[in-house]
Amino acid sequence: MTELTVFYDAHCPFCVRCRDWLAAEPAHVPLRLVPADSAEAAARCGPLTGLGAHLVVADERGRFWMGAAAFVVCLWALKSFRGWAFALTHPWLRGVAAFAFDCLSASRGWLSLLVAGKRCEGACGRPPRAAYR
Amino acid sequence: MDTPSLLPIVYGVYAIASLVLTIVLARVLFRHGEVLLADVFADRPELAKAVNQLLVVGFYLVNFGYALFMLRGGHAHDAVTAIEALASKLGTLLLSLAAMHFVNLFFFHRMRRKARLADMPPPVREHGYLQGQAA
Repeated sequence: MTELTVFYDAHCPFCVRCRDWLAAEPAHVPLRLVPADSAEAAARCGPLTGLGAHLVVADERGRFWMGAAAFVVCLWALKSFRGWAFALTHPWLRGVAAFAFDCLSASRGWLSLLVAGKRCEGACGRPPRAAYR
Repeated sequence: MDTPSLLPIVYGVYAIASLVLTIVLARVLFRHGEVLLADVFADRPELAKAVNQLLVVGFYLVNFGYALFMLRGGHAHDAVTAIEALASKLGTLLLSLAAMHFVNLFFFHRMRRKARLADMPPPVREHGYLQGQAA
């Protein structure tokens, strides 16, 4: 894997905060951060349900991860958090971690208010569950 | 009649035993630790050697220091109490050496794991392939 593209919700202030944090972290795999509603995202992803509502991460070969799995892949890409990615996918923590990431995704609305003091204008409703595979 | 205390003999035996034990264990640690560290620092063997040396120096310092602290105290009026005192001193020393040893092993293990993590694939399977054009 030579590059990971992260498709995030650019209309959600909390997601933008997370993007800034991701961009600043030292990474094993270079991360490209692309808004989910951009022309590039549309071209790369084609018809993909959940894009924008869920976090989507894709590598240069087109493999993609969505939802909780995408969070894990982001952690895996970061130098200081790779260990966490493995810990959170351990059979003992897998379910809890997936649930926590789904909750985080679903709470973007009020997290945006909390973090940035701005309302979320993206797809910040409760997204359908996308578990690990 | 006042019987002479056997404490000096206990101290002597204890000093020799702790010295020999620490040296033997440090040498074992040094020899086998080098193999593990060479694996961790595969690209920089001189760094593996240096870390190994430093760990062994630390091991010597902690163990000799601790052994000296443990020397004092105990009663040895006769052979039985002398042996008891010696055994409890050596037992405590051995247990603390064991604790040190496992702490060392734990750090070796962690270092190895850290080094391995760098070339591990993502722990979750992909959901599929994107239908759009490639990057």
